[in-house]
Amino acid sequence: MKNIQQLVDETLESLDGVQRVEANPYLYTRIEQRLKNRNETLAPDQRKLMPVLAVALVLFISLNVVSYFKVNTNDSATTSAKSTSGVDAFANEYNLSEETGL
Amino acid sequence: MTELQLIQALQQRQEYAFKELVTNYRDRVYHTILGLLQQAEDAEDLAQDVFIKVFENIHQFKGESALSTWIYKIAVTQSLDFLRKKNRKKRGGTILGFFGIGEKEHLHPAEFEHPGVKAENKEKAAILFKAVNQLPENQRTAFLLQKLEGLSQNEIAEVLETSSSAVESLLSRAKANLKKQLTEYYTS
Repeated sequence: MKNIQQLVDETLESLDGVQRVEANPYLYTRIEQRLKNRNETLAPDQRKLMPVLAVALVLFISLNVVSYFKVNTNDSATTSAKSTSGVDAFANEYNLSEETGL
Repeated sequence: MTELQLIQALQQRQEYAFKELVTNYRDRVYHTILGLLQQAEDAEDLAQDVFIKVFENIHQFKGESALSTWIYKIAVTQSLDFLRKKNRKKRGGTILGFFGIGEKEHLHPAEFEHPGVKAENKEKAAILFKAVNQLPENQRTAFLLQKLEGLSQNEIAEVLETSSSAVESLLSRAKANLKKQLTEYYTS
C-alpha cells in the first residue's frame, strides 16, 4: 500500500502532460451567428435614432425636474402668503395687535 | 500573417482576420475557460463571449504585451466574473448560501473529469480539481494557468496584472495549500 506522501505527490502531478482540449470546430460560425443576430436586433435606422432618443429622454427628465421644483416653490409661497393673510384677518377681527399685548 | 498584421487587420474590422484569430486561439481560450469553469457547455458559451469581447475591444490593445497574453487576460476575467455571478445566484437561492456555508462547493460541479488528462491519472486529477476549487481565486487561477496552459511565471503575472515574484508566492502558497488538503483527504 502506498504511503500518503506518495499519493499526495502523484495527485499533484496528475495534471502533468495534460493534453489541450480542442474547442468546437464550429466556434467561429457560432460567434459569427451571434454577432449577426445582435446586429439584426437593432436595424441601422434604429441605431441612428438612439442618440436622438437619448437626448429627448434627458430633456424630458430635466423638464420634469425643473417643473416639479417650480410648482413646489410656488405652492409653498402661496401657502405662506395665505397663512399670513389668515393670521392678519383673525387679528383684525378680534382687535389683536402687538400694542395691546394680547 | 504576422501578429502585427493580424492586429492591424482586426483593428480595421477585417472579417478574415477575426476568423484567423478565432482559429489560432480557440483551443487555448476554450481550454483555459474549461479548467476554470469545469463545465463544458458553459465553457463553450463563454469562449464565444471572449472572442466577441476581443473583437469589440481590439482597438484598446496597445501591444504592451503579446496578443495571446491579452486574450488570456480577457478569458480569465470573463471566467472569474462568470463564476462570481453563478455563485451569487446560488447563494441567493439557498439558505445555506446565506450563511456562507458550502459556498465553494457550489461554484463548481462535484466532480470534474478533465478530458485531456491521461486515463491512468483521471481519478487523481478529479481529486486534485476538487482541492483546487477550495483555493483562493488568485491562487487557483495561477495554478491552473501554469498546469493546464503551461504559462511561465512572467506570462501569468501579465495575465493577472501582478509581479512575477507575486506569482511565485501565489504558486508556492497554492501548492502548500493543496498538499495540506490532499494529506487530510488521504488520511481521513
